[in-house]
Amino acid sequence: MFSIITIAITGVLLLYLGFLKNRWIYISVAITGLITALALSVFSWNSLETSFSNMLIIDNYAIAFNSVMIFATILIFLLAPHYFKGIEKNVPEIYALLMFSLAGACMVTSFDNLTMLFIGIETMSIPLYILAGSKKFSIRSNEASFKYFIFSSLATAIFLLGITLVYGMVGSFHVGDISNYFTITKEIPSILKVGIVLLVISFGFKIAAVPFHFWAPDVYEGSPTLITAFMATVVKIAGFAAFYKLLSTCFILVPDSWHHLILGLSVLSLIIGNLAAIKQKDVKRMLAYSSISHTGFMLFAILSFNSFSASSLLYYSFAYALSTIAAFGVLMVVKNHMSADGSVQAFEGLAKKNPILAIVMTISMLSMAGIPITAGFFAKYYIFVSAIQGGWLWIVIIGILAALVGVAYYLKLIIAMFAKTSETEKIVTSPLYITSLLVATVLILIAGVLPNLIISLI
Amino acid sequence: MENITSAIRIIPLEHYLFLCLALFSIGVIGVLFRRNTIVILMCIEMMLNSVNLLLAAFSSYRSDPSGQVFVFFIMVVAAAEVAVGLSILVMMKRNVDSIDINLLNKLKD
Repeated sequence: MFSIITIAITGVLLLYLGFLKNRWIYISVAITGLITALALSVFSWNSLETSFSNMLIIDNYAIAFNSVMIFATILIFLLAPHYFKGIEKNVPEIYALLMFSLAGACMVTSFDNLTMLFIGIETMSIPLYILAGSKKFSIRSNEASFKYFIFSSLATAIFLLGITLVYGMVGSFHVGDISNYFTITKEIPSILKVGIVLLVISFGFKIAAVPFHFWAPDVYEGSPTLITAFMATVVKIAGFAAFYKLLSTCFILVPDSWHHLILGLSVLSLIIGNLAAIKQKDVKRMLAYSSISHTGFMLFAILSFNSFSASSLLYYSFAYALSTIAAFGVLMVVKNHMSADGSVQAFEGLAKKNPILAIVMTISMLSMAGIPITAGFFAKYYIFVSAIQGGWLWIVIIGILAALVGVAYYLKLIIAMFAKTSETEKIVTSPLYITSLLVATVLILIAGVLPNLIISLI
Repeated sequence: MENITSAIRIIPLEHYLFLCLALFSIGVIGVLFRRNTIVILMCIEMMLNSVNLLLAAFSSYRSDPSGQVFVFFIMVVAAAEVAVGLSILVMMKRNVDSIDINLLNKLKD
């Protein structure tokens, strides 16, 4: 609760600090606020807290996901000063909007009332429409912003219709009342099932699961890379945490109405995400499709509700966030310095002059591919174990095949960095930038060697 | 208040449901098929307002005020969304001097 308030207040403060015209003040205030919020969040561990007349419930599940998201945002903020170097205008506004979006994301994971879920999702999404278009004079950024706006609003409307139909049949927005309704009622009205299906579809939009993914590659490609990193990590994790919580608390007793849908979303995301990623030339677009395929893996946790699936989802989110931030971090500087279009060719021979960047990118790619001693390996392992425990052996086989296909395009990038030799220049980055990348990389390795640190949390 | 609730209940609930679903579907079709961005924004508004109407109907049929409170939340969020959406349109208009959606095809495979 206090961590959400801290994040929101830091956002407002940043707007006022914009008058000072000093970019080191913005970033230090932002990072201080985020670290305070992270500390407040971590220290409230094991203390179950409800607020706003039971609309918000902050349990260990919410705290764990909030901490991962706040930590990911800190890493993104460390990348920001270098990314915005030379851009003087509107930087504090961008920081403030990122803060507001994060506050919404923290509300989404801890809802106990569908009203709060709706408010949280909107608080998270509305700043992102602006952020996606924050390169004001680039038509590609405008296009990304508008596409994100339209499809996100469409998803919101579908989500609201779903909530309304559930409310109409149950008579309450409260999570506890909805789950009670299903224990009492044996014959579920079909209109309620329609409502549940609409809710699942709208979340499919938000987490970019195939066939509701079509906006994601365009939006990821057109937005500024820093914002893409935020969207691909924080927003997706928040979406998953909320999706998991919604289905596991409200609709766990009526699995027939959504199980097949999740199954379809998961299998299609794995197949189409990976196959489309192979043929991409642009690295940012390839990462967008790879993020769609990760959606397919993360949906396994929702498919197999058991005591293990929440922690496997948490571990996957953590591993995925770290590797995505590291990958986008390297992509940002390579794209800026090589004056290239961000295609795979831009990475050729990177290891010669910029060994640190090449190693960071390699480890993050290996983690995304799921190679051992990186966090990505155990992320996939745990999520497969959770699916097998739920009795979904055949889908695990599809998952393993998809992961093998995934290795192909991740390796393509690694080979380009190390094997090909072409003339590259040395890329100068700031110490903060390198710190962020190295922290992410080291944590990928630590989490890959000692997975019990995270997997035993919730 | 009591009069309004009883007035709403004169019409059977199914009629509200069909009306709202029809409005919602018109909105979805408009978003997907119209080429003018202003019309797309209007269609999104229409979807949200059809949900509002349905919520108000359900709320008075169940004699439960929380549905009507939810309507206020939706209105606030819809206003914020449209403000952002229109400003994105202004930004686009400055760059390409048009708001036709067919110009938005720079990003593709």
